[in-house]
Parts: sequence; structure tokens; C-alpha cells
Amino acid sequence: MNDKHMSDRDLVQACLSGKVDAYQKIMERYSGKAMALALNMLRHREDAEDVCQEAFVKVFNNLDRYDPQQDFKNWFYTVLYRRCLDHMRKRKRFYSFMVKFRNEPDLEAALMRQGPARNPGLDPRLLEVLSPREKMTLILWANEGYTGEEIASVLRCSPSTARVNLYKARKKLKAMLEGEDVALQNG
Amino acid sequence: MWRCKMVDLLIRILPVSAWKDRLIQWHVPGCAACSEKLAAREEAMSVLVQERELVSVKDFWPVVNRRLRSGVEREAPPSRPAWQWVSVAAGLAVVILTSLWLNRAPFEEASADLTQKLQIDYIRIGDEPARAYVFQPKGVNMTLVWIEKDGEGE
Repeated sequence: MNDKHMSDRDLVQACLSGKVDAYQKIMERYSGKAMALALNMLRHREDAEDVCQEAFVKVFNNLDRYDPQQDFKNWFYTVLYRRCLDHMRKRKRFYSFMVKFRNEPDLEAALMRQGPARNPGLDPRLLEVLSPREKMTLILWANEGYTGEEIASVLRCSPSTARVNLYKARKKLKAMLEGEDVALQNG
Repeated sequence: MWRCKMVDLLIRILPVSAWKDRLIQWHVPGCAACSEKLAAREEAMSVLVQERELVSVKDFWPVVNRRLRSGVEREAPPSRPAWQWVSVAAGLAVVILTSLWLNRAPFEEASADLTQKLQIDYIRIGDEPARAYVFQPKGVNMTLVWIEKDGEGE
């Protein structure tokens, strides 16, 4: 069978039987989507590339744990989302450390501003009001057309939680688009 | 309008997502005012990076392939020498803890002698006399000394 017409499950099976090159086909399918998702989450191109690379390695090393009953894309997005969260935590720790180390209170804000500046066209303030979980929910809903159930399978939460997160994300985004300051409402 | 405000308030304060979800499903789709407060899919897409907008996506395969073939990334099961180290460390820990426990009684006696000798004659805070309280809980090898300014709390 032509590799292009092979399903994700078939390609995973090929990988598990020792054909590492089959994984290249999987990566070709998901590199663009992964990059867009990571870029939306992290707003920094180099960070997004690092996270995508790590996610692809992680997924390959855990292919034997993949449940064929589950959608491969959703499983991959779960891994990618968790890598993004890890990266965000590390970045936050690094910024906090740098601020303490250099004793410059404004450094954190300056460093945080560097990320968005490298991605013109993306207004960082619009997504900044969303929590990582809300951001991921919004990305999956808007870019992938996911339903509450599908978002829940990626975020490993209940569909009702996913739908509530989506409601909050859409509401905050709308308020931001209309120029309202919802940052204070986050607390 | 009051119903919208009530729903909004309940969504904020209800503790269970399932209840919030039910409330949203019950009210929002049929309420034009609340629906208008939600960003449409197109609006969300306008602030998100789309796959088609990416001018070039890095080819991850060369690096990932190299890492996969090197096999370094695979988590190897703990080797026997590592387990030997763990068992030696655990054995040492048991020996140390046992010896500490055996020597516990003399240590308590010695410290009890020390606490019996504890005596506070006079304490001043900011050139003013202060009160001192000495607590010696029974059965605990510890003495607490609480000092406060004279007249404070009165």
C-alpha cells in the first residue's frame, strides 16, 4: 500500500514492527499542525520548534502505549500539549530566576515581551488573558473544528469541563476583541 | 437581562463543571445577548496562527531520526549495578537509623539536663523590659521561649 494512503494506525504498526522510516510519514502529516499549535501556545518560534521536536521523539518512544482505539491525532496533541505546559513552566521558572539573579524587577516584563515581538501578526494581549487550558481549548475548537468531546479526549478531562473552558475562552476573547479589559476578571 | 446576569454569576460560583455546562447549554444558545458576548470561530481564527500561514515548517525528521536511531532517548530499565547501589544505600540507611534509635535514650537524658539548666533572668526589647515565657512540652526534646514586649496585648 502507498504510504500516503496508509492510515495513522497502519503507520504506527509499521513503526512498532521496526520500520522507523514509517514515522517520517507521520511527522510529515503532523509537522505543520503541530507547529501551528505550539506557536499559538508559546508565541515563540524557536521554542515551538523545540517543543515539536521533543513531542515527536516522545511519541515515538511511547508508541507501544498507543491505544489503537483512540484517534492518533488526539493522542499526539495530548503529548504536544503537555510538552508545551512543561516548556511554559520552565520558561516561567527561568524568568523568575533571571529577575532574582539580576535584581531587576522590570526584566521579567521585558523578557516576556520578547516572545510576541518575534511573531508579528499575533497580538499577544489577546491570548494572554487565557489560561493554557483555555488557550488549548480555543485552538482545537477554532483551528481543528473539535467538539467538546474531542477537546476532552485531548485534555483528558470531562466533556462538560472542556465545554465550560471553551465558553470562558470565547467570552474572554470577545471581551478583548471589543477592547474590554478582562485581565482583572481572571482572578 | 437579569436572567443573563444570574446565569453569569452562577457560572462563576458553581463548583461543578457539569452544572455550569448544563446551565450554559440551557441558557446561552437561546439568548442573543449572551451569544453575542462569545467570540465566533472566525474571530478566534483571526487571532490564531493557521497552519497555512506558516511560510516554512522546519523539517524535524533529520534531527528526530538521528535521535531515534541513536537509541539514547529510550528509557532503559534500571541496570543491576544501579539496583546494587540502591540496596547498599538502603542498608546503610537502616544501620544509621538503627544506631540513632539505640542511642536515643542517653541523648534525651543529656538534653533534659540541659533544659533543666535553662534560666532567663532578665530580657529587654528596645531598652524596655520584656516578658519571657518558657514552654517545655512533655515527651518532646524541645524548649520554646516566647518573648513579648511588656504591656503588649493588654
